Amino acid sequence: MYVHSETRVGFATDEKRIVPDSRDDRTLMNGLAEGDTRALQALFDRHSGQVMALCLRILRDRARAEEVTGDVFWELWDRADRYRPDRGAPLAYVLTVARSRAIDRLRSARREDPTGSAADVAEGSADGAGAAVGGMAMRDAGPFESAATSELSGRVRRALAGLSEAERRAVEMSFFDGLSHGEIASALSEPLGTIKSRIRQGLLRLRDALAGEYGTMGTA
Amino acid sequence: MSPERMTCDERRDRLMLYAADALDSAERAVLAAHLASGCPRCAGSLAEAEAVIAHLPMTLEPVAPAAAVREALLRRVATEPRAAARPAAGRPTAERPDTARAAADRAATPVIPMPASSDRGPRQRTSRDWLRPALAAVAAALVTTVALEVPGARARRELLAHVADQDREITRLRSAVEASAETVRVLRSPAVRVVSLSGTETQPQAAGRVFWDTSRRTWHFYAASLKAPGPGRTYQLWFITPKQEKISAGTFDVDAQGEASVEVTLPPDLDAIAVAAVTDEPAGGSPQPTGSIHLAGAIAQKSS
Repeated sequence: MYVHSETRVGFATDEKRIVPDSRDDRTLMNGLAEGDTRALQALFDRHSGQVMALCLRILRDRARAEEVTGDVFWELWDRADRYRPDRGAPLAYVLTVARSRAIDRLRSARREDPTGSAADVAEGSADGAGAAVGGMAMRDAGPFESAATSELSGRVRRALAGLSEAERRAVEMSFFDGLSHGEIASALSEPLGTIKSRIRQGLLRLRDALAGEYGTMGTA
Repeated sequence: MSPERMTCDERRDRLMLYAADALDSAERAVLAAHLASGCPRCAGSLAEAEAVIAHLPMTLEPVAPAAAVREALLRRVATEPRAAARPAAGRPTAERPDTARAAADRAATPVIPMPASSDRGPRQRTSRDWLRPALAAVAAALVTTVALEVPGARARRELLAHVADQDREITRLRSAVEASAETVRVLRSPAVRVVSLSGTETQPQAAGRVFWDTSRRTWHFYAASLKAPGPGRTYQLWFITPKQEKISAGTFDVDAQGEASVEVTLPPDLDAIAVAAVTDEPAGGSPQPTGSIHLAGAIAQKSS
């Protein structure tokens, strides 16, 4: 299990050099609360790619995804008091905020244009979680953060791959597309009970597959 | 098993679904109540579940946002006071609509310069820092003003349009109810005489009925099973006096089902009516009947 080090790299505090900020995520989150704009920049440089990927996956629109990405980091800054270190890793919190804002925007767009909704989503989700987006190396991530994120994403990906195709699809439609069970059932032309059961089984399998990893995810 | 009677081991599965927002509201409420009781084990299960859910996006390959996103964020950080620095009452929240935010950004950008270096240490003060609270207050005022004006504009327009639709619907229904009430009143009134009209040989299937309100001197005429009158033609209703004077009661058209209704006030000098009849006439009607008679009914000479 990977555990983040509190090690500071000396040049992180050298203001004359443009270098990655090696402070760990928790320290950076504390920095936000204290009004440290460099902490925000470091968090942005480290995690905006992941946030953007999530927003893009949910919204399927680059301009909207970028707008929400900006909003997410503003919210981290604006409401730095909301983050509670005892509730889990900063990255999990950041992604939770990102998903929530992107789903809000998606639902708002669906209200404005109810014609493009569940069926399109059903088609899109068949691509799989990560297939629709292009890759990018995380910019300016500290070595520990980079390694941890990479390791984690591999574990989650493997866990997700352990699900049956039907379970994975139902979980993804629920998570990434913000669809209710009823909407998923309707989009896939499956009985509601079947969808509920797939999501439940899928989530429990994911949890079991990640059991033991949780310590890393919850405390990184 | 009902969630109230579960053990904490059993709740662990449910908390996975709880974290994924995949429970119905009743189950959710029961679990929320248990969590609120402070059960440390379930708090741990929930944190575990949330961690699993929160890391699903880790399966996505990162995508770089455009450089402008970072620039806009830093500009905003430099110019907009954040929630922690604002008074709680009436402060704009992080959730306020983007239109207001964007407008605030635009409004603030020209007057508040970016810091010379974004690498400047936190809380370093410069000689211009005294300006910031004042400018921030101006920006906040702008944000508040815009927030009052812009965010709900679209929703408000939609709401107003919806209300206008509802008003029209209410007016329509009120008219329909009043018309129905009038029909019922007419049918119940002892002052109302009923006259039946029959189809002639041109349209034997047609039928008509007149409800003659003698106290109000009105006719409520209804026709059924009339064919369309033909191009350039219209139907015309006639009062025919015992002296065979023909007085027009107006023209009417039939709907797709061959039905029509006409309400007519009798002329004040009309003392008696012997016959009611319907003819077809050139569009716009005729001063005296010229076409075929399609409906006719004799009226007993009791009163007018």
